[in-house]
Amino acid sequence: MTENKVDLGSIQIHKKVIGEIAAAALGEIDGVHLAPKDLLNQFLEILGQKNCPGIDVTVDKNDQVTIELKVTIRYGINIPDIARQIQDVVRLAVEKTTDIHLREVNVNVQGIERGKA
Amino acid sequence: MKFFTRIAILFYVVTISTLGALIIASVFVLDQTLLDKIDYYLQLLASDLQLKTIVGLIGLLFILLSLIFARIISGARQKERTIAFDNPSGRVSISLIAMEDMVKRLILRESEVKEGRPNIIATKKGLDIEARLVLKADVNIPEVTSRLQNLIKEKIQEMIGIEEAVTVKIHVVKITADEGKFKRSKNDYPDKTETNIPFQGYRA
Repeated sequence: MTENKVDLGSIQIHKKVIGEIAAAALGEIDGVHLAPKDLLNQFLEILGQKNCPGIDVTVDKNDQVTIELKVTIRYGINIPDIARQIQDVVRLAVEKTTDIHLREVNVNVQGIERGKA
Repeated sequence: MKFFTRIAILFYVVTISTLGALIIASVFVLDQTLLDKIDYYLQLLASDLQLKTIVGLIGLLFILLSLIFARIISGARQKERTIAFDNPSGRVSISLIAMEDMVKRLILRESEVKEGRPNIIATKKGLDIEARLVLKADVNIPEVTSRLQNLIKEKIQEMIGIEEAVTVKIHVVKITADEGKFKRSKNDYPDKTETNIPFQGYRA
């Protein structure tokens, strides 16, 4: 959880919220999808815990936020270009919505989707 | 191979071998005396709470060890199977499985290739791609393989944008006969009724 201190008190933003913002931002990029849910995520969903599969948000001791995104990309797209676009879009969306400056946005391309190039 | 991986393999080999040996031994050695002894130890275990706790803890320790080792092995394997580069915003890692999938699709686009199974290994020198191919018959192998090598190399460098050395090895494992060529259709044979035989039906 990240914390912002303002004059009237403090604002806490849960890691899940940052994850959901990142997921929504990713949805706007054509040809990119989050990696499918693994067994653990499916099990957690059965237990009622909803989380974004493929997004891992970590907050270090200095309140610096790092996002790790596991994605699949459509066949034919240049990976470095799309990775840079993902990093920019996610960074912008999180910063715009929460005022949190992200330390790193790591992209992990886990698969190439079958589709027309 | 890393130290923990070796320990994990040793752990599993010892555990499974012991289990196997116990099952085999039970077939040959099991008799009433042994059953009585087992029964005695089980009753002793059931009656002593301290002993129960110790045995339970040992079981728990085994499960934990097993989970830790499984995680270490799978983590190490996943770590090995990616290539990565850094951007100003963070790191981009690409799963080699994803790249293998991409190469496979690229190979299968070629009409001369029937099947293809690529394997990519990331080394310090660059990427080593080995593709095992099943080609169709009547194919000029040097020409097709050379074209495929260039295609794979160019596509990989274009898609991942890494100026790393890419070596493409091609291994033709099989050449299949083109079924269409060997199966003659009915039209290939001239119709007997249409043949013009001189003096047909003529009797002297």
